[in-house]
Amino acid sequence: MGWLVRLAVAGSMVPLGGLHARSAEAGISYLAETCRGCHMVSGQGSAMPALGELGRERIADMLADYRDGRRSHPVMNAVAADLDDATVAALADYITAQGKAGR
Amino acid sequence: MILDRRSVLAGGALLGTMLAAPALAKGVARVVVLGGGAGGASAARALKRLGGDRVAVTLIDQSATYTTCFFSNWVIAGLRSVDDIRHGYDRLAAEGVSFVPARAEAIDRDEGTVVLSDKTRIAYDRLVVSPGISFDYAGLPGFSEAASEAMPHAWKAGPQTVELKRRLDALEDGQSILMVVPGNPYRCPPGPYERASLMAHVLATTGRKRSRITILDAKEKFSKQALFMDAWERLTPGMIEWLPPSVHGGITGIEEGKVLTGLDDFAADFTSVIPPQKAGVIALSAGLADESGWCPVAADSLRSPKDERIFVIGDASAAGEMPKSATSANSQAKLAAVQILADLLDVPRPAPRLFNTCWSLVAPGNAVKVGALYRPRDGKIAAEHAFVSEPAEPPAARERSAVEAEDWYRAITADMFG
Repeated sequence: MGWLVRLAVAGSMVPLGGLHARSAEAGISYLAETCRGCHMVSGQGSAMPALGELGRERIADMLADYRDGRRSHPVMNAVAADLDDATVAALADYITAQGKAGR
Repeated sequence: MILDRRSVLAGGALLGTMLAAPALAKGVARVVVLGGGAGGASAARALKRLGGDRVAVTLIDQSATYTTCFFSNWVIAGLRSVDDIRHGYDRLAAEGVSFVPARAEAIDRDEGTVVLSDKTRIAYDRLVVSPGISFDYAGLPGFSEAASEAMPHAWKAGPQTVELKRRLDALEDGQSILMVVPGNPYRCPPGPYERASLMAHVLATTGRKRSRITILDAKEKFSKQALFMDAWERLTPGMIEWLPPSVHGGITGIEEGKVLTGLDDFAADFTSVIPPQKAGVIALSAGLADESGWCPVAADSLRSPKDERIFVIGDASAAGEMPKSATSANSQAKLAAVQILADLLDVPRPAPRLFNTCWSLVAPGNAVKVGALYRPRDGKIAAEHAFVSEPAEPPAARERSAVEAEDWYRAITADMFG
């Protein structure tokens, strides 16, 4: 079963409190999809690292640093623009879980 | 349902029924994707990853292998072989995407089916149209598909890419190249200038410094212009001459191997004409394009305003400020995928975030880049946080961008083909 569908099923069991979380999580799986245009999940990548192997803390730290301009790379500064802390943390969790699942 | 290639080929008239029936019986949403390039192949895999068993994804492309137009300039420069940029769809089938190697002849929008050239019909609940470009030969008087054999554009990668490289390699010192480049919009805006840069590099490093490349452009300015012109001046001085319409007076046609302009006739030992372009033929025949020849799309979903069941992505779409690039197409594929799953499976609709980055080599190991984040604004896809390389960057930054380009190629083709 796919990631979004699993969310839909979970959401239907918790129709009230689940709605906001469900919406946020659908956004996370979508954002994680967009990373794949440039980053591998696993394997080689010398300038653009494979995300599944970075670890959740490193992903979250780097995204926040790119967002806040503490790290400078024009592509990643644009990619991370305006992401809130909750989204950054959830995205790091999601990508790391995908990496462990070998997706 | 996974349909293997043997049953597709053997299926004939039964195929439409075979594909449609299980989907209806099980309540599985049927999504068909037309075109297996950076848009379509990425969309098919994303739909399957996100939708799982509740979505039956069928990808249709007329060829069982795909040669990427991106990185085809690397082939022309001898940095890659044509085999390196050719990919198959085998792994998509293993993931549950049905790949149908057939020519889609028409879209029956009333019935909700795609009609293949053998008249087989494949039913869809939602359709992703990602056919890339077609060439608008009528836009250049005297030019034609037949004439393009003698003046190869190589703007769809494949045999013409190999032919263009053969002509470049056969050129003698002092012989000349003429390139004709179309006006906006067209596939890969910096591509012609990357190609000129790399051809000049090849000539200069193989004892042919007296050769010249003349670019007859149909527009007054071009993508990353300052970066390319700076590189031409420094790396291959005097070898590349770029002429905009204000100089040549406008390109009026092709005649007997010559390019006619308002100023003069131009001829060379080797001429490459990149024709004006439109959306892929099937998008035109299905009535998805407007008078511009490209397909309008809703900024927040990429849904066609002409058909609520159809999403147009990649080069064929008129996606606001996004350039026609592989990265744009890949990014659009993800947005179309989540919009389709939201339509069919009652999952939430995330806020759109589209991206583009185009890396171009000005020489081997020396790349520049341009890009942005794109979001809907006032009903249009608009650029934010746009960036472009600096002419005065240190060589190390250019080297790193060239490594990024290689990493990007590996990643995007892995995303398309598994």
